[in-house]
Formats: sequence, structure tokens, C-alpha cells
Amino acid sequence: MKVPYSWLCDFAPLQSLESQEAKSTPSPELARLLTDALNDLGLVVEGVESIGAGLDEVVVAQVLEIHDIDGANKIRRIVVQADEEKPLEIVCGAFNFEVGSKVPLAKIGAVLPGDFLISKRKMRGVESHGMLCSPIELGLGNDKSGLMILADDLAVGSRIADALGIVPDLVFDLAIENNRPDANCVIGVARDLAAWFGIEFLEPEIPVLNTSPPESSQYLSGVNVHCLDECDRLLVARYQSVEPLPTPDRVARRLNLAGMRTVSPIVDISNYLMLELGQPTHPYDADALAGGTISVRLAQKGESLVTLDGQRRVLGLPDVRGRESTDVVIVDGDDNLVGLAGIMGGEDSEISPSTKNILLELAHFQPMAIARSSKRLGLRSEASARYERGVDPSIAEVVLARFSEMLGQQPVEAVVIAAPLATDKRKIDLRISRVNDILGTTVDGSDITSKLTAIGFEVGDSGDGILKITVPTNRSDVEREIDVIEEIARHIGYRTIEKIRPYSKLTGKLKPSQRVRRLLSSLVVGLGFYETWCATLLAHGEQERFGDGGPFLEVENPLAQEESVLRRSLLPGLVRALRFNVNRKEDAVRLFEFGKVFSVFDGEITETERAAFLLALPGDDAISAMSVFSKIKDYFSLEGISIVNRYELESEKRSFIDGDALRESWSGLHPTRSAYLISQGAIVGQVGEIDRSSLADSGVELGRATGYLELDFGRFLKAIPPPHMVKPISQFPSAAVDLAFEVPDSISAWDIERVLASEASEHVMAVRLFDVFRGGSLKSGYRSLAFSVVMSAMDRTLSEEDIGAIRMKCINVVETRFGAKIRS
Amino acid sequence: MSQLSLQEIIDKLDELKRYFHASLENTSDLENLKELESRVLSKKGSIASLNKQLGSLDLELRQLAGAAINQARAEMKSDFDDAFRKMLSETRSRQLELERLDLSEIVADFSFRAGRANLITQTREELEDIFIGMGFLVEEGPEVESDWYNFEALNMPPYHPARAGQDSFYLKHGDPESMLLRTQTSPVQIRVMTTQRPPIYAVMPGRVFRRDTADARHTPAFHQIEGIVVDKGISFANLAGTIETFTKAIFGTNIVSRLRPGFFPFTEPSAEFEITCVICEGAGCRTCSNTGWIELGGCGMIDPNVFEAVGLDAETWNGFAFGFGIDRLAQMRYAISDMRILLDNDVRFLRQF
Repeated sequence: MKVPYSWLCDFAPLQSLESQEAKSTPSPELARLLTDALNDLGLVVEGVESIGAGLDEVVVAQVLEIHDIDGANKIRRIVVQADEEKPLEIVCGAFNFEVGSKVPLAKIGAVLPGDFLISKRKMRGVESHGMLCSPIELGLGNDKSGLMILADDLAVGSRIADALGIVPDLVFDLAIENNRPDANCVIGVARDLAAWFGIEFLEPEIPVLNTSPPESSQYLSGVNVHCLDECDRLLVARYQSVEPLPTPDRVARRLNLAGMRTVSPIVDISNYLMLELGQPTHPYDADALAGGTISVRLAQKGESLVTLDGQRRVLGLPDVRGRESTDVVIVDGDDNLVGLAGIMGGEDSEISPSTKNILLELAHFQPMAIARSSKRLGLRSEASARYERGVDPSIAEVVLARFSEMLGQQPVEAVVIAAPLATDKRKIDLRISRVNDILGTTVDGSDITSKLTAIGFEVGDSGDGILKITVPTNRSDVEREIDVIEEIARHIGYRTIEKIRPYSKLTGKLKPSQRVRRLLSSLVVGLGFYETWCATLLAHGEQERFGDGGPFLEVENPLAQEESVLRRSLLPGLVRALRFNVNRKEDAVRLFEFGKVFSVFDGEITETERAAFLLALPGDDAISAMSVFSKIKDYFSLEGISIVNRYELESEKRSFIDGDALRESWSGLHPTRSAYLISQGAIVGQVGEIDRSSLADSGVELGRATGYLELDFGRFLKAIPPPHMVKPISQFPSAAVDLAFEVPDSISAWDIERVLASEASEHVMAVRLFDVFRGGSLKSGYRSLAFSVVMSAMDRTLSEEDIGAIRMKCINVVETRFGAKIRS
Repeated sequence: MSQLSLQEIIDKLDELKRYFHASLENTSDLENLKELESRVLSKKGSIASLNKQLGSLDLELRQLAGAAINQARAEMKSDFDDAFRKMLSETRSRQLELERLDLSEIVADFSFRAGRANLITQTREELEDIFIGMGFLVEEGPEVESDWYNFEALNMPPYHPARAGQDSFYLKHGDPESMLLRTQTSPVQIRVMTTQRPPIYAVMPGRVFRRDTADARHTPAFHQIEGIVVDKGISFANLAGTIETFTKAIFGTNIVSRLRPGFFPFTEPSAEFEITCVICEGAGCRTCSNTGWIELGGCGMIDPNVFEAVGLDAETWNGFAFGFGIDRLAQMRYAISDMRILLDNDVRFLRQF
């Protein structure tokens, strides 16, 4: 909301805050002071515009001669007559004028808006004694295409500010919070400032106005309100044979400064009063209304109205959540729709230059009703924005009086319909002790009373520690004790409240899962991975491209097609990141991400955290990904994880995996170069090579393999064994034997490793696969797996016989469990 | 064995010494040198055999000859040791020269290049650590939320004007507008307060979503950190003290914080908190629009309606909440001109932090 300083001064003598030394008013120091105060009051200043500042040395000049400058085609030498005896030579880069034109001249020494000092300059050997100005350079408009061309009747040499009637002013652009219905108007801002500075607040006088109930009126007997819940107060006035004067300069200037165009005398008055007092008014052409009257009622389902913006609005429909409509409409005497209450009027009853008789509507609508209609229709206006936040139900009479004053004419009739208690003032008990408990202050009853009365609250203090607060009607937001406490805090000044650090009774620490996340991250960063942050929302079909046909969650109202589906896996996002880098020749990368994935099953949304690792260094492949997992497994001493090559699943076994794999997304990898990692009967992860055809479909053509590992973080955590007692270390040397087995392809090397380590003998300390080969004398469908088995005993050095016996146990267990054969 | 006279022994000794010294001069490697030593000075060497030939001499002469032999042996041994040490040192120098490496000749080996945690993660962890030091726990919550947790329990019923500032991505799931991607980390407050008993000191970092078109300062997804304290005797002064403590911890002791009135439905009184501009330290610059201050986040005393929604007695417990953008903090600190770069995952960007 844009609020001119001069307008604020109508209600609070802010000029009295100007310091004695100020050279001009409003001075930059005053602007600073007011800006700080507004911010401290919570009326956030988003910008301050200084109007007419820096025009002291700018005068009306007339162009006498125009000369080209040798060798220059963008500037010319202009001779002008200004307020000195002799003409001045000026170098100018604009071309939109001719000899005789009147233009503004900033003389040497002028300081234009933006602290731009005009000094004597020499260009192309020509001395320039000032600057001819465009509107934007003077802060008088946004046009920078050429010089500001002045009217011919302006006196040459006169100050531009005088000639154009410019009054120096400041315009504060304020962001008003939703809980400040009182501050959406000039008077509300002025009241807060007056209270802050402890200066007088010039309250508008409540006029004596003759209003009557409709039944006893001549013209307005048809006025009625059929929905007092949604419209609890309606004031309607009729002006007869209006002959409005043109909008006065002062009103037009203020409207412009506040960011509004002037439209017509009557609309201008309506807008002016809305800005000043916060009450929207709606003037109708009384003769365009059947019966010359209006009523307020709820819209019927499917009714429609063409609003002032030319759009047809269908009303009375339930909202997206299925709630019944509370659209409120204004109808004329024949029940024709003439306005969408509190939001926008209808086309047909709009006032025009030929309007003779005016019907003025001043209503008070329930904020929620207006908010719902405005949101459902996607239609917001200055009026609806104010109604949504709450308009002062007591201000209508003041506004009507001001309207009549500005129109220069009294209404012939005015009627009021109001629900009981519509302008009742809320009463709140305020405990002084509670104020200090909440704020950490030591204020007393009189401090509170002075702060609150300054902003229109009434305070009764009977000395028992409980203040009886009466809330003014313009503060519909103040409903509870805590709301009053906020007002006190605001006017004490948040900044004056001491900063006291609380003493936490808890001991701060990370949870185990958070610690593991950090450790895992550090580990893989050490393995060359960069952490990414990939989009949660994917395009339709993007997951299907990776073979994932599972159930996904979809956004009802996406911003863009590419962001409409919640990811089920981290793979598509990491591939996007890979593509971005590959396209920038940064294709030798390893990327990882921790992130949430989402799925739906049986109507239940599952949200799971995953960790995914993409390997795209030259030489990276499925085996590299597995090697990264082995390091992770080793680092965290993971237990109970087995590996199931994906191609084995095609046939039959382990239906739970199929189930998990369908519900959750574990896809996108090369079918015969990938595996599931299984722990406690569930998929803890998948590892392998990313399917190159999926990559190609995603626009990534690396010409080499890309490894991938994705883990379900929750299940991964469960595979980390709890802390255990230290295992004693043997004092005696260990021995190692190498065992090579001929093993069917269907048996995982991991399973053999696990069995060797845990089942063959208590003396086996470690098992490591060190060689794999196929072919040669080996049968097809078999390969040779060579393991190094380290063994030791706690109480002795193992003898040759011991080692031989353990070796036999190892061979036996593998041969019997897996149908493998030892190779000699 | 023939017997020698004293003179003959002395002559032989002289001859042996000449031979030994000549050989020392001419030997160029350690092996030959050791061999020479063994040949002349060892127990089976020339000196030892001379010694054996003293038996026939008179005791007196034998003593004289023995002394001469011993002296010669000592001289030769000493000369040998010198020569051996010198040659050892020369040999090592030659070897070292051969083994010389220039350790600046590191050819980039991608497989051994370290990666990086994301800038956002680094910033988040730094914040978590600061709050842990202040006695807070770190809590997390889901990104898909119900309307109740995200809005209603936070005192934002449908059509509340504050919802207008948080355009939401609603999900096609259940009743219309019943499920959404959370627009703030504040629903985690509700989850914490409904599952834990006070005292509560917790921060809640996480990803949030707003239906806003991306620009230099906004991305539709970003990260916030939320904090709450619920305890007896907690006041607005404690809130101001907490904000001051952590902003100083992050930005340094030259930075001060200030609160000014704001509006959030779930806090009352509500405040925006600002800190001294970290770029100009308060002098005024473009970043802070010449105000010397930059806005960091929102905070306030927990609204009694929120306490009611989570079943805590607002007369017994007081509390405050605060929240701010992790991404925005990183943007400010590293002068990142366009936030959208975070979404690219450009390694040229990632490796800078």
C-alpha cells in the first residue's frame, strides 16, 4: 500500500518531528525517522519515494538554437534561455524537441533525485552549462525516451516545481500484514505513528447524520439484507441530481501518489475514501437499478453476473473442498444481480457521466465470506482485499459524511440495516502478570494503559492486576488476551525487550540415524562423490522411462508439466543431474543424494528416505558400484545382507522381492548386470549398471557404463549391528589358505563367502574373494571362485594338522551347501 | 711354516700396508671393499697369518713384532673404516639421486579426487551443530503432509489470508486439497508437540515446497530450519536471546539481530528477525537496500490456539518458534546471485564449497 506523507499529516502532525536544521521538508532525516518507526510498528517499508526533491535548481528553459557538433551524431549543442540574462549552451543527447520548445533545465549545482549532481562538463570540446532533463531524471515519471516537453504557457525561468505545482512529498510503500485490518488505510497508519511518537492524533469527527430505517423512507424502502451473517451492516444513501465538480488537484495528486488513476469525480471520491478510511463504497447509477434500490442476499447456485472487468462470473457454486457457497450478491428491486458484494460491481449499473442520481452502498461483510468467493473466483480487488482482512464496522457514517462533503451535496436519504451487536466493542480481561510472563518485561498498569489508549483501546484499571480492555471496532483481529499483549509489545517496541538466552534442560545431540547419515555422506565424499539436490517432482513418464510402472502420487496443480509427479526413486533425478554435467563436458563425475521418495499402496502414502549413488567416472560400472557398497558394508560392519542377482528372479523364487519391487521403485538397471541387496526379508537396495537404453532415452550418451547404487536408508540403518563388546585378538600368528571352487552361476559368491566366514569353523577369521574366471576347462554355467581364508586360534599357533582340518571343513561346507566342487 | 725374523716381519708388514692402501684407492664398490677387508684384516686374512709366524722369536722380539702388527692392523682398520663410510655415503647418494621424485608432478587421477557434500547440507549441518550446542535436538518430519498438520493445527484454517502467501502443491489423493507437499517445516512442530512432553528444545530442518515460479531468489523447492522451545517460564525475551545467540554463532560477533513486528498465524506476538547486513556490516549497500539490515526469518511466541491443537495447556507452558531459509542463508553468505543454480547440480558449482 502506498501512503503519501502529506496525507498522513492530515491526521498526525508529523511535520512537528522535523528538526530545526532541516533545509527542506520533508527532509531525508524525517524520511529516515518515519521509515524506522513504520518498520518498528510492523508496517514494513518496502520503498520510500521522494517526490519533488532535488528540483530546487531546475527551471523552465526555452530552446533558442540547435546546432550539430562536429564528429558527433548522438549529441547536439543546444542554446536555451532560462532565468539568467544570457542564454546558456547545453550539450544534449535527446532529439524530441525543436526551437521554441519549453523544457526543464537542471542548472549547475542542482542535485537531482538519486543524488545526481549537475556540474560543468565538456563533451567533444563543447562546454555544457547544465542538463536538459527527461521525466525520469526529475523523478516526475517513468519516461526516459526524451526530454520532458513542458506546456507553452509556462513562464521561462520559473522554478519547475512552482510551474508544475509540484508539492514535495514522500510516498511510503508499505507491506501491511494480514492481522492489521486497521492499517490498510491512511488514517490507520497515521494513528499508529502518532501513538509511536506521542504526538496528537486528529480523529475525524463523527458527523451527525440523519439515517432512518428503510420502512419509513421515501426512496429506499426496498433496501434489505437477507443474509445478516455475511453482511451485518449496510448503509445506503441516495444523492439526487448530482453535479459533481471536477476532481480537485489535491485529490488527484494523492490518488496518483497512492498508485491509483483518476477515473471520474465520483469514482475518485469513492477510491479516495477507501484509501483514507479503509471503507470501500460502491456508487450505483440509481436510475439503472429497478426500483432505485438494492438488497443483499446469498447467490443462488448457478446465477451469473458480468463484473466491471467484463468477465461473466458464475456464482453460488461449492468450492473445491465441496463446501457450500457463501457468495454474497447485491440485487436491485427486481432481484437482478448488480454486484458481487465486496469484490466488484456489475457492468450494468456502473455510473457514467450522464448519471443523475446516485445510490451509495457502504456495507460491512464478513471477511471469510469475501475471502472464499474471491479465492474461488480468482478475483481480487482493492475492496475485497480490505474486506478479507476486516473493515471497521463503525466507520461507514464517517465515510458517508466525508463523501457528501467531497461531493458538495448531502444525501436526500440514508438508511441503515444492522445485525444486533454489529458495532459492539469486544471486552477482554488482561492480566498484567501475563503480559510480563509472555514478554519477559516489567511493565505496569499505567505503562500498558498509555500504550493502548494511544491506539484507540479503552483500559479500565481497578488495581487488582487485571485490566479491563475495550477493543476499538477497527481491530477485529484483537480477540484474545494474547492479541492485546502483542499490541503492547509493538508499542513498547520489540527492540527494547531484553535479549535473554534460555537455559535448555535437554542435552543436544544427533539421533543415531542422523549420525549415520553424516558418516555415510563423509565416506562417499571420500570416494569421490558430489552430493546433489534433485527435484522431488518429475515429469509424467520420466519414471516409466526407467521401467518403473508402479503407483505414483501426482500433483493436482503442477506449475509445469516437468514437475507433476512425486519421485518413487532417486534414479531419474540423478540422471537429470548427470545429463546437465555431461552436456557441459563434466562427464567424469560421481554423484549422490539423500532424499525422500514416495509411493502409494492400498490408498496409503509411503514416504521413504533413500540414499543413491551414481558412478560415471571412466571405468565405473556395476562392479564399481558394488565395490562402493562393499566399502560401505565394511565401514558400517553391515550384517545379514545378501545379494540376489536380478536375472535370477525372472524365473520364480522369493515372491516378496517381486512384491517389494512392484510397490517400491527398484528399477532402471541393466537386467543382467544388477542385483538386489536383501536384508531381513526386504530389499535394502539395488546395485548395478544403469540401463543404457534408459540413459539414451534421457538424453545421456556416455558411450560407457554407468554404475548405480540405491539404498533404502531406514532398512540400511537396521542392518547396522548394535555396539558389541570388543572381540579379543589372538596373540598367535594367523595362517591363510586359498580355496578355489567350481560354482554354478546361480550361486552368489557372497553366499559362499558368508558361509565360509560364519559356518565352516570358529577359527576362520576372514574370507575374501580374490579371483573369478569362466571358460577354460570349466563347464558352461559354472565359474571358478577363489577365496583366501584367514584362520587363527586364540590359544596357540595353528599346526599343519589344524590347518588341514579347517581347510577340509571349509571344503565340505561349501560342497554340500552349494553343490560346488573344490578345484585342485 | 717358515719362521721369519723381526725385520722380515716388519718388511712384510710394510709391503702389506702398501698393498692395502693401494687396493683401497683402487676399489670402487662396496663388495670389493668388503672382500679386501676380509682378505687382509679378518681372522683368516694376511695379518692373522703374519701373527702366526711369530712363534720362533724371542719373547722380547715377539712382543715388539706383535706390537708392530697390532699397530699396523689398527691403522689399516681405521683407514678401511674411513674408506668404507665414504663409499657407503657415495653409493647412497647415487641411489637417492636415481630414486628422486618431484612430488608436484601430480597427474589428476579422477578416481582419487574427493567429492563434496552439498552446500545446503554443509549449511544445514553447521546450523544443526550450533543448536545442538545450545541444547536442542534435531527432529525431522514428512514432506507430504495433511492439510491439518501443515495449516489447520498451525491456526491457519481454510481461506485464512496467510495461506495466500503459501501457494501449495496439492496431491491427487483423498479429498481435494487434503494432502499436499508441505509449504513450511512448521508442521514438524506439531508432530513434535503431539508426541513429546515438554520441555522441548528442537530444531527441524527440511525441504519445503511452494507453488512459485522459480526466479533468482526463489525456487519451488527449498530448505528451511524451524526451531521450537516449549518450557515453563519461556518469554519473548528468551526468543530474542536465542535469535541473537545463533545469529552470532553463524555470522560472527560483529553481527547483531533485531526483531520487528510481523504476522504468522501460529505465533503471537509474531516477529520478523533481521541481522546486520553481512556484506556491509551495517554501513548500507545494495544487498540490504541501504538499510544496513537484512531479513532472515520469522518467529514469535507459540499461539495459544496451537497449544490447544496439540493438547498442551497454554497457561502452564510457554514457548516460542522461529524459522528461516537454509538456502537463503547460504545465498547471502556466498553471494549467490541466482538460486536456480542449486537445482542444476553443476559439479563446477558443487566443488567450490
